[in-house]
Amino acid sequence: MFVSPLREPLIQGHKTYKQISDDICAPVEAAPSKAWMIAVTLSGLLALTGFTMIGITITYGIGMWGLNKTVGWAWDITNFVWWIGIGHAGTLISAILLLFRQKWRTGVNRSAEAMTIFAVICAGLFPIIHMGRVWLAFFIFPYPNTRGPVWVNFNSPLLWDVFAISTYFTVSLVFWYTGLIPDLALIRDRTTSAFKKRMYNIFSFGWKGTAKNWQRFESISLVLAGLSTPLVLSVHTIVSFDFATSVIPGWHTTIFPPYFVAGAIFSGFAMVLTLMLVVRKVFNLQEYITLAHIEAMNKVIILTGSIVGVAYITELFTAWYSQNQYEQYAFLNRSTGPYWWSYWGMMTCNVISPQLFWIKKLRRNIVFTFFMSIFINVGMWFERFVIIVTSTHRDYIPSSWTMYYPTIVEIFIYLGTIGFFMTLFLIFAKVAPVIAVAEVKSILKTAGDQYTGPDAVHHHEEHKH
Amino acid sequence: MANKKILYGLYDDEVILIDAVKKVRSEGLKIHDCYTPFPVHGLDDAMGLRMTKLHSAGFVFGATGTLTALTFILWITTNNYPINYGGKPYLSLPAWIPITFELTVLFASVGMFLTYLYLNRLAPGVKPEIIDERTTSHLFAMTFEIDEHTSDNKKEEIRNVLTASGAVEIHEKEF
Amino acid sequence: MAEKKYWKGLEELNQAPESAQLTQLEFGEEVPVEFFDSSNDSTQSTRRDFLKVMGFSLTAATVAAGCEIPVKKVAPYIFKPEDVIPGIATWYASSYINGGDYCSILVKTREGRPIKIEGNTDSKVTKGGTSARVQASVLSLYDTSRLRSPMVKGKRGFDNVSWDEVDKAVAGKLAANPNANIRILTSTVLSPSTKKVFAAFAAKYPNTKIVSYDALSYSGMLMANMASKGKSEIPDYDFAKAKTIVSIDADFLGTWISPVEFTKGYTSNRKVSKEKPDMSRHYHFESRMSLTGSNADYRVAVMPSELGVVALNLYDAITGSNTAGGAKLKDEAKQARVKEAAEWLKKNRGASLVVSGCNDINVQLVVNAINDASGNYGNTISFDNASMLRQGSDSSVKTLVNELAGGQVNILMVYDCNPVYDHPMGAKLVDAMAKADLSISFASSMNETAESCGYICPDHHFLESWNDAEPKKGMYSLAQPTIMNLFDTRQMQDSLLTWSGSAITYHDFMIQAWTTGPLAGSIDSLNDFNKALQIGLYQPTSGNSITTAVEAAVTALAATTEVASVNTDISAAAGAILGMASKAQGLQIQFYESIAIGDGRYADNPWLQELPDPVSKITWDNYLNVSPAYARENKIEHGDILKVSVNGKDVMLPAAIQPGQNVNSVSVAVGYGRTVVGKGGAGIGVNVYHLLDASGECVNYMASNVTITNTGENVKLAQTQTHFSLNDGLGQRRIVKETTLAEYQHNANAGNEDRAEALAWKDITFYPDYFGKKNGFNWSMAIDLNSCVGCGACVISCNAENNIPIVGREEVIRSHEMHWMRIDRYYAGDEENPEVVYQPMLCQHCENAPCENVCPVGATNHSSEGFNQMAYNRCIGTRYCANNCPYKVRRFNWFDYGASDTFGAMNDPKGTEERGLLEDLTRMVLNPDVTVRSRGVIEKCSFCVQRIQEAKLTAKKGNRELKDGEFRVACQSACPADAITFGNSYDETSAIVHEAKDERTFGILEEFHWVPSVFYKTKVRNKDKADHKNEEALDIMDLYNYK
Repeated sequence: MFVSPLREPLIQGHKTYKQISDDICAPVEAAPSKAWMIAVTLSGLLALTGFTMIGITITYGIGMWGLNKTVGWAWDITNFVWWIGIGHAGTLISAILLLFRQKWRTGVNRSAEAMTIFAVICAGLFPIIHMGRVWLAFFIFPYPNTRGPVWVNFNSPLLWDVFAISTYFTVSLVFWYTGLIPDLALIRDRTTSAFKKRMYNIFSFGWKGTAKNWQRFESISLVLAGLSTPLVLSVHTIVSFDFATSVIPGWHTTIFPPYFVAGAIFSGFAMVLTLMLVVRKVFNLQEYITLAHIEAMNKVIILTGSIVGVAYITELFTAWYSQNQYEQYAFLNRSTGPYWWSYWGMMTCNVISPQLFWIKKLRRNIVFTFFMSIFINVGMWFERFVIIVTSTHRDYIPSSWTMYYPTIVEIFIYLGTIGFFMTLFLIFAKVAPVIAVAEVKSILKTAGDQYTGPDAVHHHEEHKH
Repeated sequence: MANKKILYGLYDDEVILIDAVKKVRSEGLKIHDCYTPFPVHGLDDAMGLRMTKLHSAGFVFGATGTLTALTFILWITTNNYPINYGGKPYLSLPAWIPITFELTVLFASVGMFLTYLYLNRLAPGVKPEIIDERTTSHLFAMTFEIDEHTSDNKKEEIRNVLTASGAVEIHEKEF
Repeated sequence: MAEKKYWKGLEELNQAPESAQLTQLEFGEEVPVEFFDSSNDSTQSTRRDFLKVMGFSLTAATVAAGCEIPVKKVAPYIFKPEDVIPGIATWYASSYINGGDYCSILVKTREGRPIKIEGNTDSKVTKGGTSARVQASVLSLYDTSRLRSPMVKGKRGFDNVSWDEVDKAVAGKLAANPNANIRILTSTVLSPSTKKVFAAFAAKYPNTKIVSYDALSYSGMLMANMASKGKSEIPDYDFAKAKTIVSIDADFLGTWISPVEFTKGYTSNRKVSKEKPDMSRHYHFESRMSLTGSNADYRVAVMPSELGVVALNLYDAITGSNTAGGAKLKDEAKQARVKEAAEWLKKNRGASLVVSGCNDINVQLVVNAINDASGNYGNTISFDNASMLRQGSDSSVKTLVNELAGGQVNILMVYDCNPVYDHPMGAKLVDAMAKADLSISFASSMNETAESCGYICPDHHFLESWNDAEPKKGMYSLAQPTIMNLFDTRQMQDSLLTWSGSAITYHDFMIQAWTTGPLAGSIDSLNDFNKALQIGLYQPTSGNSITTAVEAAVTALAATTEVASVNTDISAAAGAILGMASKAQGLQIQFYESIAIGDGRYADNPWLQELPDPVSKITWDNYLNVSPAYARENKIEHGDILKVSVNGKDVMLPAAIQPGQNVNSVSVAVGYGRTVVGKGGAGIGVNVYHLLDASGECVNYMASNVTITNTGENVKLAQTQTHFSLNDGLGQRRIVKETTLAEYQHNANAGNEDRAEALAWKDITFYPDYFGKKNGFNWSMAIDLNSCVGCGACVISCNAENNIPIVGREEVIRSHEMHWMRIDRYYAGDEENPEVVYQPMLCQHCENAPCENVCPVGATNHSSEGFNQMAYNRCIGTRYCANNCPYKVRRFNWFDYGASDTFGAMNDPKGTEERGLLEDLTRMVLNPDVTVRSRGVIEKCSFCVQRIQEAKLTAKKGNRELKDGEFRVACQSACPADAITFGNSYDETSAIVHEAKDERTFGILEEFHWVPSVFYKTKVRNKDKADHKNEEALDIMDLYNYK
């Protein structure tokens, strides 16, 4: 039981365990607010539009998109990578920070993990609908069959993706739900309505919270964290293999795995911030998601942002140093070709702007942080677009160079997934505690402001201003 | 055994609970179990519980995953369906690493989760014996198993120990 | 009369009840609609109905799930025709005759359907070569716009009638007045027998005259030859013998007279090897960038009016006279080239050739004089086997129009031409025709002229016809039906014979003509005739011509046209030329024939419409070619709609910025903008024929004082290649390798030195040649960039062989074209005179194919014979392979172009339905040996694996090894330049191995170690090193960023 006296408290307002339960469960127990209803309806409608567009695509063909003989992937895979990247922050926060015993994670890990799962759902959608014959999608699974037999191609990065994404989804789900069970039990025990009791009893799997339960709980959390950490790294590494193992200038790049992972964390944290800043306001959980949390995440953003920046520069250097004309042209074309705007949009959003977080004031400025988080998500979308489209649209044989322009169908499928994501998240926030209650309680003594340890007084002072 | 009875004391702070547990055990009384709203570090030691074997189970599952992946792919690419893809060897191990790794993780985590549920007797719709509904929120319970054969002074002794160790409430409950 | 039925099985033909039903119902059983329709309360929906509906939705669901393909019943032969063996192709020798276009061909039929045309190697004229038009002609057989029966003009449009009715009516009219003035207006007729039919008809009706003209006229040349050589004929040019070729705007590789024949000869003298390290030297003077110009060693872009001046300067330089009187090209450099060309003509006296495409007597006279002066007559030019391919006379048409207008013509018959559309006086003709008592068109599908005729007596398609041809004097060619006429049509010749009361069919008439004609001497002439029919040719060494027999007759009845007395005096001609040149002011325009659409008769052929123009790479349109410089100074952008005023008439044309176009001139293709045409050509391009000036003796295909105003509107042109240069700004991409003849003679490796370095990396690999070299087959292809002229015959041949779908204009604009074989075109050097190189591009069948590794389902993988093969059924359409293909040869079915979708034809709202292969009739052209790909799968060149398998099986049945060159892949067999070699690279004796060992051979991007199976041979240009510009970028690199 130790905490650095210099750390400011992660839970404020002299909470007792009772209060914590009350505060965090309040939004779940209260009747849905008007704001919530409106939000769900809007995002739901957006999602619906998206699915309609998917329907159109499947009915008529991929020709409804702006792709062509030279640019075979564009928004579809851009969105896929973007969503996957966003998903990664959740796992990262819950797993890696758990391993590093970062107490501040408890405030955000629950919703971060939820975000992961929903993001992965959105991501997984794209590789499926981008298929020309989606009704044969089951071909990608190595299942015994009477066709010869015919098996899949284990050399294909796309197949690795299939395994990576499905594993990632499953593990995240397991991890998330393990943590969710005790908190659902809490609601079960608090609620008065018989119906709710029955429902929450079903979903809490009959949790009791005995010493042995908790012992196993700790054990599995730790191991799952241990597994998820390499997993999350592997997933985006494999996603980057889709490009890294190909032969297209601008794709064929060994730097991709670390570069993609950093980018993923980068965008993921940004998305977590976007959501948390809203959640803490709407459900007024400011005392559980404090400036300390926000600042900590902003620090991670500076770090990953800079890593990404270094990666961009390295790419340029390598292109020049390789003396490979095709490679060189790929990057010349990125920065000065017809898609220059996407390249420089990426640079500004991802590399230049996050550097502002070196200033403590901005780091702790909620409004600024919010806009920055949006900014970064845009930038990271651009990054994927730059990599995918500007590389393919002008590759080896100039005769085949083309331009790519999205169609309305593509655009709305993308917006649709955002709507879908929001819908899922809003529903989640209504039915389950957005903060891991049990875990917060477990750090109350060590990181709360009524900390009863040796330097308690010091903390009180810290808290006053 | 006939209908089960539980005698338990409720505490409002985990630090007190842990001391209490130590005290009670030194008195030579057999604690049935403790119910806490969150993982209390050191409680299992105080109660003298064995460390769980769950993680070792995880390792076994993981190993199974690795093996499954490798043998399956090996059989397909070299034996059942050898196809020349871009002039690469049938047995091109580097290409298999990603999938092998993923399956390892998948087997390990899913296997562990199921074991975890089984050991904790967790499953959708299981009706738990709830000692006190506040134990998932903010109170800590220490329970003792008793039955009609339990002598009254035995109960009395337990009650005294509980009060002495700082229990805020003491109840008996029948299941 | 009911539409003629083309049936897929006897069952359907006889309308067996269930098949009849099947054609209406998607699902076997009737669905109780009233179940859904509550308003109709008389019907009670029973539980049974409910179950039916459930069943229906279930089926629907399964279909949607792609588990069940809608059933189409086929029936096997009950009485099998003896010459039809299912699955085995039957070949017929025949002749492709379409106006002045001729080719000796072999027709491949499957189950009685002609599906593919190949060149006939026995022909001394076309020597087995074909053109895009020839290849595509098989599709026009199944053109949905073909007329189903004879028609007569009624109150409201045309009504179908029976042949008897037509014959009664026409015969009546003829009988009424045997001395009626009858005019038969026709394009050039190659068939001697047809001429005899005319003669026979004329014998019955004495006042019959034959008026023949060519939509793209050569009468200037004919008249010049008449004047200077006493023969109104086009001589026989031998490009193979010519060491120096000077062309003054003669597009002899693309459209001029007999391109296939000339390409054969020309390229035979462009191939260089260690054995023969020499090639012809080709100078080209023209105003627009033509296919031939783009292949020249030295090309000079001059104004149309300067072409004559060039001719005069050449003449002066050779003869030392001074006819030009100091007139010369303004640009010194250009003038120097003229001198240089003259030097080379002198150097190769008697082995050179000067040709001109000008339809101007004077220029042609000068050209004849130059050829005389350089002693080419009797060597490279001869009248012994004079070409019969162009016989039209411009003035005769004018006479006819005036006669008609004057009401002196009672009966007009229009055969195989469309003057209303393609003659400058077309509009006048429409009114004039109305004055004739009877006008008959033999058009096989409705066109502008037929529309204003009283009767339409549709002719057979040439694949349904008996016919003969005499493309060159004394060289005969026969055509026989390869399928029974699909519709209720009749050959023009039969119609005429019927009307002239003769009892015999044209078939018998033809045999008579032959037995009394060319085969008169032979003992068993009928047998000889059948022999000739078998090979489709009769080419006696000493030409005794049946035309001679009928010539007298025909020429007698050919419209007597008052030919202005042409002087053979060069100085006079010079005067005329210079006069014209000085008159030509302001911006000049030139009208030209496009490679694909020709004079417009091919406008209804979607294959040809979608064939990119070899130079501009634009499909589905005609456009005004403007030079980059002109565009820059007049703020014209690619696709801007321009208002073009020529000879006081206006047209709206989209601008196409075309490097190589002379700065002071523009050009536009005729043959587009057909108004009365099938859906293939509907609404495509703009008709510019009416802009031509026909006031002179010959139609003038040039005009000056053109004004252009930019309307500001902009359209996207359906262009398959928008980037011009191999130099991306960082240097030249080593995708095409070039050298000059001098360098090559000095070092066979010239231009290809860097290959050694590229191959040196071969062994530095993670997987050292894992599959190693096996016995058996490893298929490989070599393409000689020096032979390839870029004509595009291979592209269409590939379309026909591999059932490649048409996608239509809109889809080409979106870069969705499906061609497996494309021809990349790159420019280098300066804008007005760029060096051009053509590179046929197809799947390279890499040994270490990048596409194969990335397919998650292994739908594309490597065969033991070195194919990079596609399993369409396995493909789920991730397009990863297409992304990862460095050559970008993989094509994705964005929509259901082939109408073979699991769901049934379900196309995008605007898309392919319009022009695609979706009609049952059109689908009869499909090759049953090749899968029609469904929506959502990737496809690409398969090296014509079906042909290889067939050849292997034949060899196996013969219990022998497959011989090298025993079969040819589609692109190879179509090529008139013999640029493509294909074969087994494990067979050391094979031609392909010989090619692969050549110093000029290289693979594209070899340094990356994908190990392509397709090789290219360095392009060698016969020019000085100093003039060789291939490393330079063109000022405009592409049209996307062009500003």
